[in-house]
Amino acid sequence: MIERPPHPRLSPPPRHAPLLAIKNLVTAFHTPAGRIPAVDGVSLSIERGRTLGIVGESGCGKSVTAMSVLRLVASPGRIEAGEILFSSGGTTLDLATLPEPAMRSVRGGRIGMIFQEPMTSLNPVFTVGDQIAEAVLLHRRVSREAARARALEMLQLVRLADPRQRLDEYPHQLSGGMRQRVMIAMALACDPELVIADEPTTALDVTIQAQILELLSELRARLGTAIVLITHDLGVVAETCDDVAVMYAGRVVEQAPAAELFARPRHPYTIGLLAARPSPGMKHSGPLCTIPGMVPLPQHFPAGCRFHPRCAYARLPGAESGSGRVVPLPAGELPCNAAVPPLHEVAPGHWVRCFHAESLGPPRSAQEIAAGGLFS
Amino acid sequence: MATYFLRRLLLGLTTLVVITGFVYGLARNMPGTPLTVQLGETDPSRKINPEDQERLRKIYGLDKSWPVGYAQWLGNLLQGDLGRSISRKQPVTQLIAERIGPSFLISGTSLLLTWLISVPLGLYASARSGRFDERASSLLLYVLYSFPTFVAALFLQIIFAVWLRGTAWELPLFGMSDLPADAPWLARVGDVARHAILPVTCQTYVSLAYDSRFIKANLEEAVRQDYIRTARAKGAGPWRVLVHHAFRNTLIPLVTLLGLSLPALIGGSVIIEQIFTWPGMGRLFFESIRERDYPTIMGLTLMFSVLTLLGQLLADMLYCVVDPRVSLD
Ligand SMILES: Nc1ncnc2c1ncn2[C@@H]1O[C@H](COP(=O)(O)OP(=O)(O)OP(=O)(O)O)[C@@H](O)[C@H]1O
Ligand code: SF4
Ligand SMILES: [Mg+2]
Repeated sequence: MIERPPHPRLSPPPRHAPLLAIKNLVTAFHTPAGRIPAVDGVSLSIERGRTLGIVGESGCGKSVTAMSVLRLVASPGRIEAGEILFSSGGTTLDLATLPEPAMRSVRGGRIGMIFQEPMTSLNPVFTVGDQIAEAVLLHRRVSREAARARALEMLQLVRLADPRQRLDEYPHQLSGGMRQRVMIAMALACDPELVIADEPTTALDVTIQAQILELLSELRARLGTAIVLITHDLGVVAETCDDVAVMYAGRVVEQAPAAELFARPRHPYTIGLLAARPSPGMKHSGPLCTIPGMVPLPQHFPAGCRFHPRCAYARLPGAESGSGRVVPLPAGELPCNAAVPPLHEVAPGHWVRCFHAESLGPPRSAQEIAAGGLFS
Repeated sequence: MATYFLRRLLLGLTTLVVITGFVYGLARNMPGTPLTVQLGETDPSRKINPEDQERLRKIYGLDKSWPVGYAQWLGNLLQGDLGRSISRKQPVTQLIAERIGPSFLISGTSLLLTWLISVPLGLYASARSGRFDERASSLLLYVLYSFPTFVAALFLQIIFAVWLRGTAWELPLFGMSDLPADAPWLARVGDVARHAILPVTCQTYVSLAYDSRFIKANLEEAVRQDYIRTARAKGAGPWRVLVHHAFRNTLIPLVTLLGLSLPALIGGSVIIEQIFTWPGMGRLFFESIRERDYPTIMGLTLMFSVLTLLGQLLADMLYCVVDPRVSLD
């Protein structure tokens, strides 16, 4: 291991020991209709104190991945394979196999979670203060008064108006944005090293969304908590995340530092996503460039590279590619639907799951893609 | 708050007038009168002569039409007078007062037992939902639930009063007490308790099966909610999640159930009191209808209606206690 000179606290700590490393995670639901592999070989890593954005179309397995980390996947879902290595306090725990009692001290203690639905995620019959204090009491040997004091401190930290009064109010007396602040206060109450926020702003008004995201960024900077931010919104990722993982059909297809990913997307799916995004400089007149085809359901994941039916670069025997274009297959090359492309590093910290990431031609910037249109 | 109670009071009084009026009309229009049912039909040899009959009809007010009779009953009620029982020659209030204790003994014990058993049973059933032991116990409870009380009572009577006669397990067939009133009180308490075992069992098992299934269904609904996921994500253990977070929320529907059981708590069960010849309110109701004892029928109807309305009021008030989202205005 290479020892680097100590960084000034401004930049994130060295990248050699990820806080959380998910390796080939497989989580499947066993329904009467058959096995649904919602997450099927996810690998990604989160660095200490950084914000990782996870993006991908609806149903690609973002939430199931998040729930797997805390082992909260609802039955009939089960983690079937893979490792979830959490390095905390000098030891590394595999959360995929950690015994349940030890797992309980991780949940809410070392890893906090914020959910999408602020309106229903708080228990309606307990006061806000009691619910935050409960999180403290579950993990710390402190008195009720101390837990309540901590709850108040947390409400002040998330900048809820009138925190002292709010402490004794019930969730129904609070607006959606206020409830989400309470959820954040609860998730952070035990100083976790990691907070997973699953679409924390999707259910909120646009102005409130911005406030909550700003709060999260600010708290990360102040407390040094690593954040996993699951979102649909690439704009949010660009503004708030240090790193990005792009998921498609139950797998991570690309992970890179945000600046790198936006400047040099390598996976055809990422390229498509970026092209589909209205860029700030562009007039919202013409139709957006979207990826043709549909997101496959976990029951019908295509063989080989899961993106091949929609990929303009797919090399297939015959004319199977999404655009109908026939790409001649050089002798000895595997077609994209024959094998799963490995997740490999194409540049420092830039991982791509595509056979042809290196040979897609000169990587194009998002602006160029948006202007030119990739899949036209 | 005040407007709530005022609204409730007005609504309650209207309901009472409608119900008692309806029941009075119904009772008076049933074939037979207290006189024919009591004397003529049960014992033809004791037919009373027409003059006496006419005199009695006047005394009991049976010569007037039912709306007039009802208006009189209502007028007396406003002066606090529920009238005298025709067949029992006793003030109705006194009759009811005598019967409250025995009914409450059975129903109160049964209600207490039901809740003491069905709450843990419901918690257990939803904690082990889908496992073999839970399915087996749920099936058993379901069979119990669909088993008619009178059949169960008969079985229990045969087993404990007939087959086990002479053993230490023998239980009385019916009645409330075999001992004279001057026996030592401790012996009398024990005797009444022995008499109460079978009726209490019969009344408990059905509500037990119903309530534990009700609690389990509500718990299963509660554990599907988002706040349960939040509780688990906080690090709460399965027991704490179930009891503190889920069960606390199921109190909301349970309070309604509790409010609904208030009339039965004092009113007793007609079937069980009849089978076990238990001198309670349910049996009095049954007999007063058979005897066309209008004042008693009306007194009991009034009592049941008031209790039902009070039960609803109680449920509403408990609602506010268990659900912070509800307030009385
Ligand atoms: N309880 C469940 N039973 C069966 N299948 C499930 C269950 N929960 C999720 N899935 C499957 O897992 C897949 C991934 O779901 P997930 O919620 O992780 O998607 P997501 O990426 O979070 O989508 P969204 O952006 O809409 O939140 C879905 O396609 C769904 O079919
Ligand atoms: S492996 Fe083939 S199909 Fe998959 S993304 Fe790369 S080029 Fe497209
Ligand atoms: Mg989701």
